[in-house]
Amino acid sequence: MEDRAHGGGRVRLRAELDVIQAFSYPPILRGFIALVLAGCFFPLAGVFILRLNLVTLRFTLMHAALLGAAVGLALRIDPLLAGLLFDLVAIAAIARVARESGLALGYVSTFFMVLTIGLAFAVIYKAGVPAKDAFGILWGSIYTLSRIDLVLIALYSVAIVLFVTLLFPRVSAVLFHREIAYASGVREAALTTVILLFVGVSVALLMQLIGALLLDSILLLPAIIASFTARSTRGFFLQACIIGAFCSISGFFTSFALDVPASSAVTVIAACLLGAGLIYRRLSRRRS
Amino acid sequence: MQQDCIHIEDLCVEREGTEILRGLSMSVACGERLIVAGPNGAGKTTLLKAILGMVRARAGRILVLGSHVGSREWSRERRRVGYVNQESVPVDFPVSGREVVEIGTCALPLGRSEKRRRIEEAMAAVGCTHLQGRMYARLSGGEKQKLSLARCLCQDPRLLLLDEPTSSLDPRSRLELMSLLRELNERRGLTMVMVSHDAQVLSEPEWRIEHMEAGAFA
Repeated sequence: MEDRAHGGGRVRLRAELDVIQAFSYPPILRGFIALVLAGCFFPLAGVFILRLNLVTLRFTLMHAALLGAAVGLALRIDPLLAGLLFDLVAIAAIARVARESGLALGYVSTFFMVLTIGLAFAVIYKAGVPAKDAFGILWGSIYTLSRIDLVLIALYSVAIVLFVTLLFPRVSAVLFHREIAYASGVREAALTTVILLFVGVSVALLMQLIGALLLDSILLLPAIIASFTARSTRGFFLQACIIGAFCSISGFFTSFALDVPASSAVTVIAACLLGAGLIYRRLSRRRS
Repeated sequence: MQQDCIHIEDLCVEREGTEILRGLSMSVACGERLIVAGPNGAGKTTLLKAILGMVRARAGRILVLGSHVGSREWSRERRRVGYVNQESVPVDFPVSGREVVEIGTCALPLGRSEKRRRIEEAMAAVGCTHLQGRMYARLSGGEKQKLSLARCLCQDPRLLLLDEPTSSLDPRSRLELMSLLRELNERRGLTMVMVSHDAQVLSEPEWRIEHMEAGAFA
């Protein structure tokens, strides 16, 4: 019994040493910092997506980033930067077309989604881009981030935090009701475009970090869980960040302990929390 | 003679090829209370949105509080117009009563403490201070309308536009809201334009009533 306890302690100590040792490798340290930043602050963009019903737009941005990555690989430029650029162009085009045509954002997004994925396949085929490299963006990797990628993630984190905190009442007005925001004197069209840009950049950065297939675990799931428990918009933003931070930090260490990819661990933890959140919501509704 | 708070000449508004307002002209004096009545699809809501500058006019001109709607000075002046919209806002995300009222102050060039004072005064004036910590989604129609009014009062408006504010209210809440509006008009000299086809509201004394039909006044 005592031996087993000693054995367990040794294994734990070994795991702790492994993690500490791992942090001495720059790619792992960079990945950890990026994951923590993303977990803490990217759920702010998730709140925008949830409230403004930008779920289709999010898919379009994934496809635009894939097109950007394909073009980037074909031209031998950083696929992350190229994806980011294509996302920004897509956002500007979608916002403009939706405003000029009066069509719903969902319709315009769907058009661009089909267009960008079609173009991405054409570029991959014509430029002879190895599909493995282009589609690598679908699953991403936190350990392949360059220093520039990390700087971009850090800059984005600072920008979105400043945007939400300094302009909170205006942002909150746009999220509440765009007509009421306008009637209250808010420049809601400009603010909505900025919000869309933040969503675009967050999708492009997260694709590189944890991949298109799993980015919702950091972007959307914390915001969804927070919507079950928060009682105010301030609380909504704050709780989404706390839940995102918890998922990313615990996911990182769990990935070490269980020897699974960090993105999978983050996703499974976020999904478990979502399940718990759903149960909490059901119980609290029954009580009220 | 009283100055006009709203002056509209030959206003035409089109939406997707259909003419919603056809050469509509009207004036509302400062401090006046006007009800615009009429059947669904008559263009009542579009009229309010045109006054606010939310929909573009194909022809005609609108002067509100002395500014041309759509002009540069209007983008500043529109803060002096409160707007209570038709449906109680569909909110499936967490927002507190106080945050809803706070929206009214968000574009005002005021300091934090002044904004806080305005929010508290507006909530007290409407009698909804007790709703500040409550979740908006869980409030009744009457409570939501009170918050909307408090939100507008924060803007220190000179004109209040109300789009069927009583449509989701029970008879008692409707009476309460109408008496609150009367009080605000008398105490603050607020000009009010309300769109409604609620029979109880249309029987209110001391409100000028204009009927709209097919995009023009009957």
